[in-house]
Amino acid sequence: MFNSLRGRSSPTAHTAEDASTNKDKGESEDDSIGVESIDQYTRLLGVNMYNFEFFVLCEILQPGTLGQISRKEFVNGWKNQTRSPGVPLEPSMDEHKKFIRSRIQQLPRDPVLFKKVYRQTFMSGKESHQKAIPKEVAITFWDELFSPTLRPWKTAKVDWLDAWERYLADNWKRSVNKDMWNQTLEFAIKTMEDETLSFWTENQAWPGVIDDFVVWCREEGVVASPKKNADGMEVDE
Amino acid sequence: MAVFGGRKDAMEVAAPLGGRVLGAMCELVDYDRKGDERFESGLLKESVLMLRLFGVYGKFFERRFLDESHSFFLRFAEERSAAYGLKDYIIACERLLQREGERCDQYNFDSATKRQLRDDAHRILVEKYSAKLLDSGNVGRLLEANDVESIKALYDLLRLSNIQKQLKGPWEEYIRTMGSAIVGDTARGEEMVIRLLELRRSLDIMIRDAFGKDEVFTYGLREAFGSFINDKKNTAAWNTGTSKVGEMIAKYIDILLRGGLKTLPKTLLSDSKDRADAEMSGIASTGDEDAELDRQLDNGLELFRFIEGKDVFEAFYKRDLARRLLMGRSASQDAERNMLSKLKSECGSSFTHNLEQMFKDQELGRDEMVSYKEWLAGTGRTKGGMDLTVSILSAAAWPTYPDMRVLLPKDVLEHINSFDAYYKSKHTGRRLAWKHNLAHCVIRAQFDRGPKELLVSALQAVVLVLFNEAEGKGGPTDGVLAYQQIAQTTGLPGPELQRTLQSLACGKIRVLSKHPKGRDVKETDTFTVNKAFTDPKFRVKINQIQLKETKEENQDTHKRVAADRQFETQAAIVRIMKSRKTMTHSQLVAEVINQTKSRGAVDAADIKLNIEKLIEKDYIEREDGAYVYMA
Repeated sequence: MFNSLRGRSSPTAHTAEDASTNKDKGESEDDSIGVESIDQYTRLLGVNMYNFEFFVLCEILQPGTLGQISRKEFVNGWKNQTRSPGVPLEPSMDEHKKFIRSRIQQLPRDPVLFKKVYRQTFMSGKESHQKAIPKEVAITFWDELFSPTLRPWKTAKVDWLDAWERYLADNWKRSVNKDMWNQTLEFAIKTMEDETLSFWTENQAWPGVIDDFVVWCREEGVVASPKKNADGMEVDE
Repeated sequence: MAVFGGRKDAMEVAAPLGGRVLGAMCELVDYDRKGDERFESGLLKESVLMLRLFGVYGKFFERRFLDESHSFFLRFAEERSAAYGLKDYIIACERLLQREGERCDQYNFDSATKRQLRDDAHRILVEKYSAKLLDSGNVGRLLEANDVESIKALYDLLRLSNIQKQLKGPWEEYIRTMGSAIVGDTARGEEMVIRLLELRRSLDIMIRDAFGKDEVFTYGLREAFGSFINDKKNTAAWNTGTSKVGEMIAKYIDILLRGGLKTLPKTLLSDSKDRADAEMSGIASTGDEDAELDRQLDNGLELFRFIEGKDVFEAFYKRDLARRLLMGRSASQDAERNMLSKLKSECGSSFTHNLEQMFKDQELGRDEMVSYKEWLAGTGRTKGGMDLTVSILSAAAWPTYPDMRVLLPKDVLEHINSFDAYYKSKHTGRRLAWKHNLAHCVIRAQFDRGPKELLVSALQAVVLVLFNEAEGKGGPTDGVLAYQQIAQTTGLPGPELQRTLQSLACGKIRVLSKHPKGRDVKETDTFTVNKAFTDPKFRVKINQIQLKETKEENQDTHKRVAADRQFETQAAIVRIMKSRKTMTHSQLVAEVINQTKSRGAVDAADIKLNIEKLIEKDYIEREDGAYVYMA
C-alpha cells in the first residue's frame, strides 16, 4: 500500500530504500510481519492494500510504523474490536472479514470513525523514529482520504484539496508533523461548514501554516477578503 | 427720605425712585469693575449702608445686583476668552474674582450675596469655559513653558468649581507627547535619559509647587511615563527590537558610577526644597556628593521601574559593571554596593546573584594573586621584573566575551603559562580560558623627550613591543614595520588590528606614526615609533578604545536579549499550561504576555511560533481549538 502510493507520487530515494530493507528483513526477525506478508494477509482478508481500505485496517491494528505490523499490535488490535458493545469478535478470519467490510462501508458516512482512521493514517504512515512524514507522502494520503468517493474536501464554490495542495507546493518546504496533519482535518471540517472562512481569526489555536493558508486563499481569490471598515478593522456581516 | 416708604401708596411713587437708586448703585459697581474714574467709593459704601438701614437690602438690591453681575460675567468671559490666550485668561479671571471678593467685603455686602456672586462667577468663568481651560494644547503650552505660576493659578481656578482633577487628561497627554518625542529621538540618543530625567524633574516640581502635591497628578505622571516608555511605536526608530530606554538607563547609571556626577546638568541636581523633604523622611539628608549620587541613582532607577522589558537593562548593566570592575573604573565601591542592593529589591535576587558573584570573583582573584606571588617567590623563580595580575572570572556569572586569537610575546606567554599551571594544579578540574582582549597593562617607553608610562590594552601592547625588535637592524627599514608584518606576528584578525593601530597612530595621542598619514588604516601602510612623542603627563592613557562599546557588541547584546526572550516565552508557556492544563489561544497569549511583560514580552505572532515549537516537542497538543498540556 505505502509502496504503491508512493510510486504514484514520485518517491524519494530515501523512502524507497526504507521499504526494501523492511522487506529484506523478513518476518521472523523481530516478531512482526513486513510488507510481503501484509500483502498476503490483506488478500486473505479481502482488503485492498492499494487504497483507503488499508487505512481502515490500520485503524484496527494501529501499527506504529511504516510497512510493519507486530504480533502484539495484531493480537491486541483484533482483541479490542467488538461486534456490539460488550460482545467481542470471534477470533476467526470470517468474522474479521465481515467486520472490516462493514467498517469500510461505514467510513464515508461516519465522521467519528473517519477522524480515527485519518489520525491513525499518520501514525502508521511514518517511520517509527520520525516525528513527521515527507510532504509528498502526506499529499498522497490526503488525496486518498479526501478522494471524491470517500470524503471529498470540496464545497459549492471551492475545491479545497486542490487549493491546499497548490498552496503547499509553493509555500511549504518542510515535512508534515502530527500537529499539522491533525489540524488539517479540523480545518477541513470547518471549511465544509463555512466555505467563506469567516470562522477563522488569527487569535485562535490554528497552526501558523493554516493561518498563512487562509491569508493565501484571500490573496489568491480562493475566498473573498472580508470587508474592512474605515478603521481598517474587519467587520462581520 | 421716604424713598421706599412704608405706606402702600407711597410705595407706588417711590418704586421708580428706588429703581433709580438701585440702578445707580449697580452702575457704580460697574464703574469700579471697568476702572471708570466716575466711581465714588464713599457713595457706594453709604448707599449700601442706607439700604441696610431701611431693611430693603435683601428685598430689592441683592437680586438686581446679582442679575446685573451675571450679565457682566457673561460678557467678561466671552470677551476675554476670545481675545486672550489661556495664560492671560487665567490671570484675568483670577484678578476679577479677587476684586469681586474684596468689593463685597469693602462695601459691606451681605455674606450671602458674596457667596452667590462668587458661585455665579465660578459657574460662568470656569465651568462654562472649562473646555478652554482644559484644552490639552493650551495647557500643554503652559507646561512646556514650565509656567508654574499659571498652572498653579489654573489649578486653583478649577478647584473653585471642584473640577481640578480634570486637568489630569491634558497633563498626561502633555507628558506622553513630550516623552515620546524624547524616546524616539535617534539623533540625541546619548541625552535620552538626561532629558527624561529633566522632564520628570520639571513635572515633579509642577506637582509640588502648582498642584499642591495632589496625588491624582502623581498617579497620572506614572501612567503616562509607563505608556510612552513602553510604546513600541516610540522605540521602533531604534531598530533594536528591544527596549532602547532600558539600555540607555543602564548606560546612564554606568556614567554615574564611573564618577560622573559632574557631567549632570544643574537642572537635575536637587534643590533646597528636595533636601528639606529628604531630611523630613529621614533619608540621606546632607548635601554632600555621596548623598547626591544616591539620589541620582534613585532617580535613574525610578525611570527603570516604568520599563516593561527589564531584561535589556539587565544585560547592559551587567556588561557595564563587568567593564568597570575589570578596568578599575568604578568611582566608589560603596556606590557600587549601594546600587547592587537597590537592584536586588527592584529586580530580585536571581538577577543580582550573578552580579554579586562578580564582586566575589574580584576578591577571590586578589587573594589568589597574593598566594601565587608567595609561591613564585618560594620557588625562587622571578619573572624578569614583569608583573602579572590575573582576574579569575566564573564564566557563568560574567558576560560572555569572544575568544581573541593573538600571538603574545614570549616572556608574557611564559609567565601566563606558569600561572596557568599553578592554578590548575591547585584547583584540579578547572579550566582557564584567557580573554586577551580584556587585558590591559602599563608599559615603559623611551622617547626622545624622556620616558613615559603608557596605559594600554594588551592588544596595543602586543603591537608596540614588536617595534623593540624592529629597531637596530640598520638600513632604510630600521624601525619600520609594515601592516602585513604586524598582522603576521601578532596574529590579530583584520578589524581588531585596524582598530588597534588606529588608536596608536591616528588618535589624539600618537605613539606610532603611520605612513602615509590618514585617518584610516590600510593594508599597505607602514608604521614607525613616533620618537618625538610628548605629553604633559608622565603616565599616558591610551586604552580608551577598550572601554568603549563597539557597535557589534551593542547589537550582539540586543540580539542575545531577544533570543533569551524566546526561551523565556517558551518557559512561561510550559509553566502556564502545566498549571492550567487546557487553554484557548487568546487566553494563553494574554497570560504569557502578562507573565513575561516585566522582563520583556515578545509579540503575539512570536508567542504563536513558540507554542508551535512546543507542540512539535510534544509539550502541548491542540484539541478542539484549544491547547492541552501533555504530561
